[in-house]
Amino acid sequence: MQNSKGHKRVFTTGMGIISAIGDNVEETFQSLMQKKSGLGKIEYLETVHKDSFVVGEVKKTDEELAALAGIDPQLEYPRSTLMLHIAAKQAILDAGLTTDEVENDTCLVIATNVGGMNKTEKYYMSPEENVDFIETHSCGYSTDVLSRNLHIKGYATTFNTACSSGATAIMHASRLLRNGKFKRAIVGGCDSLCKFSLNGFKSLMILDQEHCKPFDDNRVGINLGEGSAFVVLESEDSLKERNVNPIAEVTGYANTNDAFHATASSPNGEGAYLCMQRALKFAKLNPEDIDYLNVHGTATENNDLSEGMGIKRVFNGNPPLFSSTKCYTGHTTGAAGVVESVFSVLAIQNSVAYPNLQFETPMKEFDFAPLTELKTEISVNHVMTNSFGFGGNNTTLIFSKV
Amino acid sequence: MALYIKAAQAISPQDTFLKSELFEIVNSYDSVFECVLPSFKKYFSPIESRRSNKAIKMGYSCALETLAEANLESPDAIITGSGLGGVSDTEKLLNTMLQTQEGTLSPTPFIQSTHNIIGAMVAQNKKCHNYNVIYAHKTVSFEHALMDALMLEAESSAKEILAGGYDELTTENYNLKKIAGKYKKESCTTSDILHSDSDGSIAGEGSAFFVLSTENSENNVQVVDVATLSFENEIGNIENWIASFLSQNNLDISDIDNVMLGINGDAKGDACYYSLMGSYFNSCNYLYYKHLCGEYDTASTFALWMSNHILKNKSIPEFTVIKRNNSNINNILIYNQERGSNHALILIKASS
Repeated sequence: MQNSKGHKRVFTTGMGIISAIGDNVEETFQSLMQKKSGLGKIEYLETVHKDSFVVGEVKKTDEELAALAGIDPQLEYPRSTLMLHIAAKQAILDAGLTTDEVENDTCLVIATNVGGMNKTEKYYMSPEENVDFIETHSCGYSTDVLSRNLHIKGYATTFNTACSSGATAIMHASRLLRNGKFKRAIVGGCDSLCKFSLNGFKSLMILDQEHCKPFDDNRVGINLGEGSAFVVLESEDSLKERNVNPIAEVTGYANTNDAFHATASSPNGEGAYLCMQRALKFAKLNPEDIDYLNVHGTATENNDLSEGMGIKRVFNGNPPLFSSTKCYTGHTTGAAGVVESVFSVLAIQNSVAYPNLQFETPMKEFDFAPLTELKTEISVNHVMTNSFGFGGNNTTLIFSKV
Repeated sequence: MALYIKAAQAISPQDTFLKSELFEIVNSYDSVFECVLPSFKKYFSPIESRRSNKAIKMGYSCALETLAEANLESPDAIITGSGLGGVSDTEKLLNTMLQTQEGTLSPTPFIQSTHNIIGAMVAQNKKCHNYNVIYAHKTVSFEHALMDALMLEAESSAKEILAGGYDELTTENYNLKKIAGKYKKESCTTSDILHSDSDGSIAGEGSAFFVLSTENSENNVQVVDVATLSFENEIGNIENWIASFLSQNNLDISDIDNVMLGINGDAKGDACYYSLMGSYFNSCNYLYYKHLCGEYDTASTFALWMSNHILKNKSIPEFTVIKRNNSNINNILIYNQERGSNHALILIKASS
């Protein structure tokens, strides 16, 4: 069945994830249900700021990640490349795709902000020691490696739209399927914690030294995170051919630009407002149809205010249940949009909505506040998720129950 | 419906910026093809100029001038591509961070190094809230931006799209790539690139932007189709892929007048082109462009900019010609690949 515009419907059939709260989907969901955060002191990254900031690290060394990915550690893949392979393989297995199905009529869409940076910063001052980082540095490197390992030739691309990259990747893949370019898409995002990001965000003075408090009046800033998440998307034709049932549907998406400032969002939340509004319009849904909103909620003073204004305007002052899951994983930057899409789909599958953690004081600007209790056995038919990045890059996705 | 090139501006190692005609005199280089830079006073204040890297200066000024040329206040979409973004700021941050053992940093390089800054700056300048994304996939970053533009048009989501690409060269990046074997270790001038027998290419940089419009009031060049293939080493399979691409557009290779090839002096990578020139492409005119702009991830922006001029003026300058096999100038197939990776095709045709 095609929607009214004659475009094909797009469904999710598999997921994979590795982050601060778990090495796979099952562990991740358990952490969410137990309100168990993966945030803490820096354990794995070698940095002078080890004791200064709270982050959401994947609790594995690079060698352990290589083992989990089934990749020879001698190849010394960057950390993000390893996580990418782990989550991709999980999603493919979850969707039950055969090798033939992966290799034919399937595209690969990846999101990352800093690519192979953790390896670059290790060898940058002594390139004679290991010159590979010159190749592994770029955003597109991991995508190319994964496309070769999966034998996906037809189309493999990489997005870097700052912290909205992951959601942008899902939107793009959905469009490719909707327009009949491919039957399936393997879509993922990854970023690893590295000194470059830590010091870069630190220079903007938007990091929190304690656990972050999204949408709290006393919020201080971000806890950086790392990880990789994947979803397998399929068109209706593919579902029929493979005789599989979907776990959710991608019913809406939109991408806008705030057009305000390189690192700050507009005080009236214009970009956020337009993005959510357009996604709803595309999905042919009303604001009150959204059962749960997974906000971008980085806990910076600026984002939460701007996003909050956008939410107030779109939902006419009466937003759905909402929370920021960055309290659990930290801000996984390039991976965030996909990580949080996985959480959105899990919410639909399990009829739950997650609470913020550490929340104490509602923001004075709004009459509404995030969830503070885990909600179970609720009706979750439509979930909206926001991912907003520097440069005003905004992407909103809507997932729906099938 | 279709997309036509309504406006195009490029900054390159040749005399291209704000020129309505294609340059006649070729600037020659040895190994490193640096851009001929205009004064950026019109687009940046002195403070902004000091703070901004070359990629930002080139990309932003090309974008603004392209919009001005098209008389377009705010596009329906802004789609950009860049391989490495503001690499000089990435280097600045890395060097400062590593040399000071993670001491206090200025935030400017962190922001300026990001891939999406130019799209963001244009959106800000034009108060444009529309679709705005950035592709960062090596040598097909710009091709994927074009494919997205075509898809937007097919969805009826956009009528006037700003699409472009940019990449800057830095001494540091050049030296690192030389160590890694990507660039030639020995001298290689403009005229040495063709049929070079050593590995490694020359290095280049630049930016070009285009307004793609569904309207065609001035016999503009049409961007017919774009395709990429992630990896393929077998010539037979490459030919089949190109043939399939053409067939989807109701064409075959005998319909193609000109092929604009990404020959860059790297013997290993160029072998593919020479093989095709001897066989599958042998009815087309063989043209090339990287001896004019150098090798960089978004060099195909230069190829498209120059090809657009060629078709509009119905004239192929001798300096792009490797060999003429026909006298037609109705279409150009731009073809690039990187040692068997990221094969890319851009097909354009003249309106009249």
